[in-house]
Amino acid sequence: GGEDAAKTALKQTLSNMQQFKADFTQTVKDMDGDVIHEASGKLIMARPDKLRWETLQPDETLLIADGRAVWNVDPFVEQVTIIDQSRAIQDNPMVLLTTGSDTQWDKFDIARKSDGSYMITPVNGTGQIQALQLFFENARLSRLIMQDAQAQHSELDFDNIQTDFSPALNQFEVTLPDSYTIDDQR
Amino acid sequence: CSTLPDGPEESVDLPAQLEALKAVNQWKAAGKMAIRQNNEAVSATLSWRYDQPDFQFRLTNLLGITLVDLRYDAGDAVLKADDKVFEGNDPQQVIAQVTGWQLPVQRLLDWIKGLPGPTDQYQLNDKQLLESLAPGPCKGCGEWKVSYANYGQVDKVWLPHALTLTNTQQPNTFIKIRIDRWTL
Repeated sequence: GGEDAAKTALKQTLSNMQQFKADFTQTVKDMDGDVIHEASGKLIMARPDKLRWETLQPDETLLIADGRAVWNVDPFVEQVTIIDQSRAIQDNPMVLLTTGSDTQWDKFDIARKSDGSYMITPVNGTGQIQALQLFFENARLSRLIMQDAQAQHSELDFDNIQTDFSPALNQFEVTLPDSYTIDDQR
Repeated sequence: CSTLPDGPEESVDLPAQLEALKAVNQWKAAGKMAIRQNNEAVSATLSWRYDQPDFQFRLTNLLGITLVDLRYDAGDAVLKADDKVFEGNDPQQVIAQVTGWQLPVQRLLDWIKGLPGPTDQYQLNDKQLLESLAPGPCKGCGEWKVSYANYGQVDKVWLPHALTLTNTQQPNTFIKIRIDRWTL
């Protein structure tokens, strides 16, 4: 059916993007369209299942998914929280950006929008993220919008996009600051 | 990390400052909130909008997804978290129901501005702005002590950009708030 074509097309586009690196500006708006948060930082992704989300403004935080666990380094509370990646990404469509696994793809419906973007929605409608919209420019991810159950929109616009580089593996490793509390929930 | 203001050059006229704070009945605070209870801590982006007597309080995670939404509107408090909804006519009671904490929300709406209540005790910093506040009697007030830092001038009134509510009854338990932007 139509949806399968969209899913196939998105799978192909993303599998061609073995790695991704960009600066992002993030704008979060509530259901009335009021801006409730703005941030900027760097995003690095590598297949399979690796992601590094680093904010620089308004403050420095670091989230790393290394394929097995998700590490959240938060200077504001001087803590590193570690949780199993399988639990962290449950029902989160962002996982599709770095995996080809059918067990993950089957959890989501994919629709192609008239502007060429892809709308990813959970099949069973649960999970914090109700929809993830992906925009591509010459086959490279240029923008994404997440929508949650409160109709809050979180938009990431990418700049300085690179997709042909070999990601250094230490980008997905965390050195634990010894003054931080470690909350290992694995 | 984010650069917060570091207060006035000279002392402020405290009575005039407190009068000005009392007149601030509409504000928006955007920043970060963290809650620590011993070695468990969570932190999130804070978006708090007050339009007397109603308010909307929202915590958002790194991805920009709502974690907690508490809306107090025309006497009805509705708290949404983890796909669950809790309702009541008193926001403090709804928060207690969900978190087990007695957080005097109505008092906090003044404390967050650096405005003490008539029965609150407070110490001033060297610029005559509140440095710490020990709440007077109220339900849940005895559990908290408030400390302030990083005052900045917003529309001619000085507002704190960092405050911490320390729990006086549980060790290493506090709520830390950083306000990157006040909008009046």
